[in-house]
Amino acid sequence: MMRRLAPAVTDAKRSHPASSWQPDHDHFRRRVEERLRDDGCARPEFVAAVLEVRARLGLDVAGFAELLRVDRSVVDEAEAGCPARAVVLALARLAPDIDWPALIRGPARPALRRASDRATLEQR
Amino acid sequence: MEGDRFNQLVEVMDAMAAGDRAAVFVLYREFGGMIGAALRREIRAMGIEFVRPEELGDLVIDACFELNDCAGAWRPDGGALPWTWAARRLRQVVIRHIGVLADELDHERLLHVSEAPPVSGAQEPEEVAVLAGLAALDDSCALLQKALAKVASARDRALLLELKVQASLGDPSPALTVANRNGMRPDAVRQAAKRTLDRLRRLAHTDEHFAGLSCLAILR
Repeated sequence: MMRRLAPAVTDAKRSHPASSWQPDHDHFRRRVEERLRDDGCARPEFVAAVLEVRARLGLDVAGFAELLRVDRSVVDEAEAGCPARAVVLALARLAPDIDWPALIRGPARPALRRASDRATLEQR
Repeated sequence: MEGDRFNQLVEVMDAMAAGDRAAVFVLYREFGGMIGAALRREIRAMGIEFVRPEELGDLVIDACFELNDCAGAWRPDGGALPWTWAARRLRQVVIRHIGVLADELDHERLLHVSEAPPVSGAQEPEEVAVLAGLAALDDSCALLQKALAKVASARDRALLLELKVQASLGDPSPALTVANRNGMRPDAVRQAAKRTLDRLRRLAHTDEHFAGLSCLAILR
C-alpha cells in the first residue's frame, strides 16, 4: 500500500508551494547587513559575510576558529566588526570567492555605544 | 516533519536562542520554504489570493528574523513547529508588509441596511415570557424559572434574562443596551445580574432540588 502511495506523495511534495521557493542568499545577506547596521555594527558587510560563510559550513564559533586556525576570541572580534589581519587572510583562503579586503576597506563606522559605556567614557 | 529534519530544526532554534547570529542563515536556507508556505496561509486567510514571489521572499526574510528574535521561547516538545507556534507574529509580519485590507464601502448596500428595521433584542418577545413558554416544554427551563422566582424580584429576573439574551446576540456592551432600555446605569444592571446569579448559584449549592441548575450555561 505504502509503495503504491509513494509516487503520489512525491508528486504532491513536488507541487507543494514550498517546494518552488528558492532562497536568495545575496538578498538575505543584504538584509542581515541592514540589521547589523541598525544595531550599530562597525562593519556590517564584513560581519554578514563572515556569518554567512560560517552558516554555510554549519560550524559554531569554536569549530570555525579551529578551521581558520585562529583563537576563538579572534572570530568573536571579527563577528563584532573588528577583524584582525590574521582572520581576514584565513577567510580569504577559506572563501576566495569573496573579496574580503574590499569588505574592510575604509574606516569602520563608529559603533553605537550603550548608555553605560558612554557614562564610563564621560567619567574618564 | 521527519526525525532528522526536526532535529536539525531544533538545533537551529537552540543556536538562535543562544545568540548565534549565523543560525538565522541556516534557518532561511533550510526552512525558508516551509516558512514561506506558512506565510502563504496567513496571506490567504487575509483574503489575498496572489502574492508576488519577490514580496514573498521579503516576507520569508522578515519571518526568519522574527523567529530568530523569539527562538528562546519555543519548546520542541510543545508539539508545534516554530512557524505554527509563532503564527501571530507571522501574521504581524504580513500585516506590516501588506497593510490591513478592507473592502470599499458599498453605499447602495449601506442605504438598504439603513432602511431595514433595527434588529435588537427589544423586538423579541419579553424574555421572561419566553422562559415561561419554554418551561412548559423543558425541565431545565422549568427549574430555572422556579429558581428565579424564588431568589429574585420580577425586575431582577427580567434584567438578568435581558442581559444574557443581549450578550448571546453578540452585543459588545450588553449592560449598556439593557441599561438604556430600562433607564438605568450599566453598573446597576451588572450589579443586579450578579446578585441574581450569586443567589441562583447558592441555591443550586444548598438545595438539592435545584442542584441541576449548576449544569446550566446561564450560571457558568
